[in-house]
Amino acid sequence: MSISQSLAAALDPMVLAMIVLGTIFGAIIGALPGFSSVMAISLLLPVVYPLDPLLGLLILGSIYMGAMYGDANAAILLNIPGTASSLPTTFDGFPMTRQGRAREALLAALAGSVTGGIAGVLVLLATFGALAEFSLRFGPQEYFWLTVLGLTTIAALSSGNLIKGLAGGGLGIAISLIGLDPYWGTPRFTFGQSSLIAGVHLIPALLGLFCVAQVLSSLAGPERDRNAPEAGDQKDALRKVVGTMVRRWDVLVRSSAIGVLIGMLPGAGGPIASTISYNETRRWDRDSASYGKGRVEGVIASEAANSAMVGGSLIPMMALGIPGNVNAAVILGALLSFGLRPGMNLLSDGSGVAMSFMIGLLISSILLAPLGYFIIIRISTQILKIPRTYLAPTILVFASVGAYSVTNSMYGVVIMAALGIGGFLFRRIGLEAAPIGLGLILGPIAEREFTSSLLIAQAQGSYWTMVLRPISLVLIFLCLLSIAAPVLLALRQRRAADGGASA
Amino acid sequence: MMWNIDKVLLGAVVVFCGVLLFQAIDIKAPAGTFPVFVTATTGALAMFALGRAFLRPSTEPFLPAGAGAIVLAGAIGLAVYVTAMTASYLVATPLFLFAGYLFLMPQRTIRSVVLAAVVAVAMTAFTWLCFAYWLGVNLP
Repeated sequence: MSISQSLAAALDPMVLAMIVLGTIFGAIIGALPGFSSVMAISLLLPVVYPLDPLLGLLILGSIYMGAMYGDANAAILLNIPGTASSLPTTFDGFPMTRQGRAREALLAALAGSVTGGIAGVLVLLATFGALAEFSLRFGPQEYFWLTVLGLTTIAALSSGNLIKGLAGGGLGIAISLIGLDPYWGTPRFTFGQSSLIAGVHLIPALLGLFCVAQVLSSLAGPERDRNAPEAGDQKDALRKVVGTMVRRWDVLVRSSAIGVLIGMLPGAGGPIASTISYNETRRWDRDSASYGKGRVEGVIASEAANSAMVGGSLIPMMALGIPGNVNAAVILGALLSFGLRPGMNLLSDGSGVAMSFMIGLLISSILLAPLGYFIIIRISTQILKIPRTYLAPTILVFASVGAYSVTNSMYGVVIMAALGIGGFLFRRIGLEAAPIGLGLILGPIAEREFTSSLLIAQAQGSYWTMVLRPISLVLIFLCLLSIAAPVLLALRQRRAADGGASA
Repeated sequence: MMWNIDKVLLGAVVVFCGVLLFQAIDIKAPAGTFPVFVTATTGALAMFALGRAFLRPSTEPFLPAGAGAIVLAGAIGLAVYVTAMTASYLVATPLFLFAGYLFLMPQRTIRSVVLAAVVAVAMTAFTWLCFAYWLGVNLP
């Protein structure tokens, strides 16, 4: 399929309507404190499952894009970051609200998100082909180590408890082993249950881990005051934001670059991108002391990096099959559910899904500007007033019917409920849902490539062939670096804290 | 309470991995190699975490004060709903939603109860339209 045909497919009225709905839905869920973008994507997995792959992937991509912007609203209006990614947005966004400049802050967040989102997708468009072509040099050994590299994301997701994080990832892989043995074709780990022969279906499992467990966690937390102030009628807000963008284009360029680069690294997602971007913007500013007191550049820096990370995280996911973060991992799960494989296959299968998807994402990030200005900002204060009373049971019903629809039986609902309640309990003891989910998604790929590598090694008469190949060695080094970096960073922070305390 | 649940859950992971490992050993190579490696490693990691939980017990409560009843009701409610859904989606869903809304409502007035009933019916109709009508799913 040519680029013009891909463009035509992405500009189909039905596809455009779905992009608009996906972006708004993502922004709404993202705006609700405690409900993350990964939950928004997971919740719609069953809805997109029966659809055309392009339409389904574009809905999920648009939700991702919308959610990364939506969480800024709660951060600015309530000082509650919708997700950890928008924490730096609160530093200057909320002081601006208290100064009566809420509209300016909301528009700055929108401007940053749109610019960052477009930059991220443009880099994705520019690099995907080359990276996918490079992946043609990969054999099963390299793909196995690449999957291990994806799994090392767990180290960054484990928030200070690497052992529990790795155990969670292993548990996810172990659950993914249930069902038919891919090599011999015989049932394994089914405990005599015929329904388990088909394995643990990915979508109900993700619904349980990311929706049900999240809802139960929100019930465990205190009900926060959601009396969001109105955005106000600041007439010159748009002019001021546009003026800042023109004057401080360097903030947009630097923050977008940071977002894309951080997004590409496994595990180093939105929170790291937005924090580094905010800190760098403050560091490069002559008046750095005024940050935290209502500087519009602070909001733009945080949100531009946050949204640029979307395109960045999809680069390794689409080209190599390694998700940059949990959101990309869930989209990878959807990609695999549609029967598509990441890498050169996506470009060369003739369907044009990859190119149309990237063009559609670009349209989504551009459409975010009018959608945010005319719809999302206007309704964000109303969205923030929706009480937990109505949200929690409704999400549980939506997840249940979604799990049923994917398997067309109660089996999916039982899987969802079991992993949801189990995921909530594990989350309370520090075994987070993200590593378990990542293990579930990447486990089958790792097993397939490992078994193939093993067969090749046996045929060649040496197991060293699994390791001693140039690209494999580089990937093994990156795996070790990916695990060691968060540990060393935590040790350094602890030492710095101890030093500060003793001083 | 935290220390008990912490150890029980980590113990459950160890037992689960142990059972899978026991079965994986019987699978002929090369298909059995990966499951053996994964279950043995995960079991070992969980045992390490369990050992650490014994040596350095956490003092944090498992749930914030007062949240236990709400979470337990949520989990039981979900289990009951999943069971009741097999009988009839159109009956179980509005009842579950209405009960859930009422349970989580901080203050119940006639107006809020009526609103909860209306929202419950509307959400049931919406999900039915979305899945049964639009996506063609045969809901029970």
